[in-house]
Amino acid sequence: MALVEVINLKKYFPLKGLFFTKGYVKAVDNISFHINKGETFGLVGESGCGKTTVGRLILRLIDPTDGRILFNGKDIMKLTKGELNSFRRDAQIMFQDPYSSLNPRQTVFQIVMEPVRFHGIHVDDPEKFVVNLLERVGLNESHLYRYPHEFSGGQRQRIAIARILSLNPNFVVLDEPTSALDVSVQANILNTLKDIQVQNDLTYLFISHDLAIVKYMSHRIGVMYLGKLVEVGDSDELFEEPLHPYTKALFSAIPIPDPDTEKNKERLVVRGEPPSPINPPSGCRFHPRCPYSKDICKEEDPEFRKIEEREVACWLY
Amino acid sequence: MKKILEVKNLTVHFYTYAGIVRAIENVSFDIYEGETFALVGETGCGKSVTARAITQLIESPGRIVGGEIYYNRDGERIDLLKLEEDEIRDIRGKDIAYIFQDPQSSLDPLYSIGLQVSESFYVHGRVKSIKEGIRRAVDVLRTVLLPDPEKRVGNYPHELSGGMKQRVTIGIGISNDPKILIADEPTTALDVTVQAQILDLIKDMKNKFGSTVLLITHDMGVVAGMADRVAVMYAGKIVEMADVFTIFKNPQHPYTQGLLKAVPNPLLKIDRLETIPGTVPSLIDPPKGCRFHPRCLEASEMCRSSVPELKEVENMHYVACHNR
Repeated sequence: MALVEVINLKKYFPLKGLFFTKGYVKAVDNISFHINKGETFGLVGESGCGKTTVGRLILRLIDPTDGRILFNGKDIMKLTKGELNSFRRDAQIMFQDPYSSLNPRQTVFQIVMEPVRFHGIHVDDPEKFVVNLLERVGLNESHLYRYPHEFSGGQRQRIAIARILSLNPNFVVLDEPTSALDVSVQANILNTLKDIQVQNDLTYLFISHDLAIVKYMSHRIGVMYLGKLVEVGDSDELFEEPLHPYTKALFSAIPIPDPDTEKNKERLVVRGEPPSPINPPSGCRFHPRCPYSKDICKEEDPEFRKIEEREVACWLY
Repeated sequence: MKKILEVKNLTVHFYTYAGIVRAIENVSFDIYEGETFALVGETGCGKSVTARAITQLIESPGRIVGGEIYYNRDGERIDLLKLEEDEIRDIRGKDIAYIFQDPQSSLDPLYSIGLQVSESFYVHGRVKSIKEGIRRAVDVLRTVLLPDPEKRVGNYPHELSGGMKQRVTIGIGISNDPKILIADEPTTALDVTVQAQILDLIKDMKNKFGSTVLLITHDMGVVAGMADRVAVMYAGKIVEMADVFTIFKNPQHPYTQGLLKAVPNPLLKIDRLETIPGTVPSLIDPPKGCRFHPRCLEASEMCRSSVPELKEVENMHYVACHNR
């Protein structure tokens, strides 16, 4: 069953001139997908493709230009005040940079308790409550009254996870949660996230540019390019047989940590770099870089089509 | 095979208010002519410091405390650390050139890219005037596959994308036909599709000019694709050194083993990543004995007290571990 449903979502950011709007950055342009209860949906793409904007839209941190987002079947733009309040408890976010997402003047105890206080939830023994949460993410009682600067990047991300768990949410947007961390620490955090997902029956939207990690974490994956979703499918199947040329190029560009594979790999090399989302190319947005581009690709935007369990937006299919 | 660079017992310390940071300690390795040698490790392990120390690019409060670095040029054996500033400047950028991580900050925003390429010719006396250099810059930019080089030569860095800027810095790097090219995280700031293009370019340049490459990276995937030999660094020391296939297929040091298992391979189905407990130690007060012992599952009494030497366990495979 779908917990989150995104329907024809659009977000245009106006480019303001002195008097008039000069144009729009089409950060997210007409995308639809759903996230099932209890699964991890990975959203992957290169910088500027709009994946973070999608995450923020789903949490209603910014308002969409057009389209609908259903959370538990309800349109989040049409919630009453009370419903919005409980939505704010149910849906949480974990940010990329653990150095700017924790208040340097608060102790760990204050950081983890703040959302609980804000929502006016009664806790019998706050200290015990926080220690409990800290232990679940691999920290302990001795960390309770320390400040963020006393912790390493990985530990700070653990504090952020404890803060998320304090409200017992059922949906969390993970926005590049490990890209500021080293590999040996990253593996630890990813495993912790997987554990608490099972324990708390959480649904994740996992946003990352690192395909290897998205593959490790996700059940299903959506690939974004320049504000559009180009392909959605089951994580293993998508890697086994990517359909969209961009997905193929992206997958063949990942350096595989195995010299036999990596040194003998045939790469599908795409030309150039992602164009600006201010004036995106006509038709399919990938056509100027696509090795298979045809005439129709320049003129018409391909529809999202279902091929067995896969959805793909490409004129080749 | 001929050794082109020999690094012996290189030690660099940073004298900060908080204390002496022992960034690298007794690092030794050789680089052979024509190979790609990779230094790999996590943040703060000293890989960049090692690369910079090769041409004395360590700035205050850092200081090269000890060691020798021999550069073998046409039968001549030069200790790079004993050279005066003007002598090393003659080598830096000409014999040994760098490509840094962030093209945004390694290009000067106030000058056109043509002028910046030209400057590297001019400084090393390859052209008589900057103008002549700019004409030759067009060829360099064509070599690094910058689209439309005749027009682009007058562009300023802000007019180029990240990938194009990195092409320009590679152009500056290869402009004097260097013997050794040091690439310090050359693709970390770039997206994967662009990263693939830049890595291909570095490979092409290497084959074309026959230069030796010292690659600094934290990405095991990049190492697998680019390197011939690899040195793994941890907390300021080399813990293991071997050819790339041995490092990946038969790693011996517990840190190398842990590091490789912590990197997900997207082609395999992995249920759970293995992890290395704990975090990287502070280099102001590094652990006694083996610097990896607090995180090592095999640590014994010996590991806590004495520093393991890098020793050859099999032909050309070096490991610094008491238990091997």
